[in-house]
Amino acid sequence: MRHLAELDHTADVGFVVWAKSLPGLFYWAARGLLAELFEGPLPPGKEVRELRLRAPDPETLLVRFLNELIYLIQTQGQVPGGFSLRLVPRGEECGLAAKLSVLPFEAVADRFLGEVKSATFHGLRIEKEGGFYRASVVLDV
Amino acid sequence: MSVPFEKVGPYTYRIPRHGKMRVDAVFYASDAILRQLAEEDYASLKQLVNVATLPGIVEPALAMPDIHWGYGFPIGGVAAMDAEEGVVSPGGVGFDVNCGVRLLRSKLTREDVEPIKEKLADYLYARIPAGVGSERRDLRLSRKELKDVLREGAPAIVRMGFGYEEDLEHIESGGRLPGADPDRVSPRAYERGAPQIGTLGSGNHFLEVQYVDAIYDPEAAEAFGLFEGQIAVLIHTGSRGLGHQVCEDYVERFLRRLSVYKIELPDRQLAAAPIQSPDGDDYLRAMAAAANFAFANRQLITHFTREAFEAAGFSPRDHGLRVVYDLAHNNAKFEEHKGRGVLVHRKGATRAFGPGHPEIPRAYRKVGQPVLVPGDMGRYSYVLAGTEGAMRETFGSSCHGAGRRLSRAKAKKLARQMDVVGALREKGIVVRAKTRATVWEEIPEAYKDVAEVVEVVHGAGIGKKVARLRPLIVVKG
Repeated sequence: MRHLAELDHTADVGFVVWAKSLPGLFYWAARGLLAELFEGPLPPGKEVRELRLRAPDPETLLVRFLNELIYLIQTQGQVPGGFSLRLVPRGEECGLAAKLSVLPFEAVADRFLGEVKSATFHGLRIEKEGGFYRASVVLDV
Repeated sequence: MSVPFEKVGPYTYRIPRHGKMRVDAVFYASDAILRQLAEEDYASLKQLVNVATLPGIVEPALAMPDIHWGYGFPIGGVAAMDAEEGVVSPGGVGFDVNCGVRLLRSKLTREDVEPIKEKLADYLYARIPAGVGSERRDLRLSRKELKDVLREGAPAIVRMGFGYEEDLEHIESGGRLPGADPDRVSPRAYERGAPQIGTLGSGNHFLEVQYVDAIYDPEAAEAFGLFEGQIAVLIHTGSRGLGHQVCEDYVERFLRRLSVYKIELPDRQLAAAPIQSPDGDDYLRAMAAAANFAFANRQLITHFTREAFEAAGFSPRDHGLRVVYDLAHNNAKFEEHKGRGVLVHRKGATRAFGPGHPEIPRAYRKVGQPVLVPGDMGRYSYVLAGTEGAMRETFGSSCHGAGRRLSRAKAKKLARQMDVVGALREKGIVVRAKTRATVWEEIPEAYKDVAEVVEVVHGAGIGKKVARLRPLIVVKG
C-alpha cells in the first residue's frame, strides 16, 4: 500500500502519511521526513542510538519525534539510515522508544536536499479512517 | 468561494468578521495575485481568518500582497495585539525568529565588478558558510560571548571588532531588541545555534551581489545613498538553529497552557499565551534574544563580505561597503499606533515606518525608512520607502518579498527539465551553491514576479518605490 504522498504546500513542504497502525504511522512519517532531506534510500548505519520520548498526546509526540530526528541530523550530524520503533503508553501520556542505526552526515552529504527548520502542528491531526491511521505533516524549511 | 471578501479599494480587500473572527481582516492584491490565491483554494486567506480569531487582536488582521500559505499564520501576515489584553503567538513570528534582509551599498560600479565576478563569487562562497548545519570553524564564541550576543545583538559583535559603530545606526532597532534574556533560551537552542553564527543556512536564504538598475524616487535614493549602476550586497538570513529551537520550545509550552488561559485555537500552530503572563513574558524575552542573534548573524556576514571584497582586490576605501538598512520580517515588536500600545506580529512582513518617525535613522527620517524587498535570483529586488499610508492602514507594515508561486516539489520538477545555472549565466548571473536541490527549489519560476507585489504596495500607498536592483552573483546554501 501507499504510505506517503507529497502535500502541495506553497511555502514549505509536507506530506500525507497513512499506516495500518499508530507505530506504523510514526515510522512512515519519519521516512517522509528523510525523503524531504535526502535523495534516495539511505543505507543503515553501524552505530546504534536509542531514543525515548514522551508527550501528552500523539500529535505532540509525532512533532517531537520528527524534531528529534532533525536535531540528530542537522546538529549532531547523525543520520538514521535504519530504525525501528514502538509506542509505549505510560498513564495518560504517550511514549515512543526507537532504535536508530545512524551513519555520519558526511557519508550521505552528497544526497542532502536542504535544511528543515522544524516540524509544525499546522493542520496536524492523527485520525483513523477506513482501518488506517492518517496525518498531514507540514515542515518549515 | 470559501472565504467571503469584498473589494474596498483599487488593491484592497476586506474579509468581514464572521464565525469566530474577532475583527475584520484586510488583504492587498492585484487581479493576478487574486487568481493565485484562488489557485491555492484560498488556503492563505483561511489562515488569515484564523489569525483574526486570536484574543486581543486589534482590527484589522492584515496580509500583504506577497501573502501565501504558511503554517498557522499566512506568510505576509500582520497581527497587532493589544499590549494589555492580547496574546503573543510564536507561530506568528515563525521558526526563523527575526529572519531579515540587510542591504549594503558600495562605492563600486558594475563595471568595476564585472571583470572579477567569478573570483569575487568564490571568495564570498569560501568566507560565508552556507548549507545544512553550516558552521564557522574560524570563529567560536564562548558561552559568555554568546550570552552577550543574545542580550545585546549586533552591538556586541561590533565590539568584538566585526564592523563599524556606524553600521548600527542603520539597523532596525539599532540591531538590538530590548528585554532579551539569554536564560529563557534552552540549552538545546544554544547547542543548535552556537556554531552557526556567521552562516547563511539554506532554503531561501542567500547573499547576492547586485547592481542598481533603476531609480524611481531620486530624493529617497539619495538619502539611502543609492545611485544607478552602483554595486550593492543583499543578505537574507536569520537566527539559524537557535531561533528554530526557541520557536519549537515555546509552541509546545504554550500548547500545554492553553486550558489555563482558556484560549481556543482553530490551528495548534497558532499556540498563544497572554502577553501579560509569565509564559508570554518568557517567550518575548527568549524571542528578543533570538532576534539579537539574527541581527548579530547578519553583522558578522557583513564583516566577512567586506573581507571577500578585499580579497578580490578592493581596499576598504575602494569598496566603501556601508549598511543601507537591516530589516527583519519575522518578529513581534511593541509599538504605538494611533495612540494605542500594541504588539505587532509580522510573519513574512516588514516594518515600513513613514517619514518623521523617531525610530527611523536620522538620515532617512525625511523620506521614510528603507523597505527591502528581495525578488528571485533571476530577476530583481526592490528598495521601497515606508509611508504615512502604511502608518494609517497596516500598523506601519509592508511586504517582504515576492512570495512563492510554486511548491518546492513543483519547482524541482520543473528545474529538472532546465539548465538552471546555465540559464542564469546567460543573463550574466554567477551562482555558487552548496547543493543543486537548493538552486532547483529557488528557480525564478518558483516565485511571483516581485514587480507585481511592489506595484500593489506602491498603488495601495503602503510603500513607495525607490530603486530596483538586479543580481550579478548569487550565493546559496
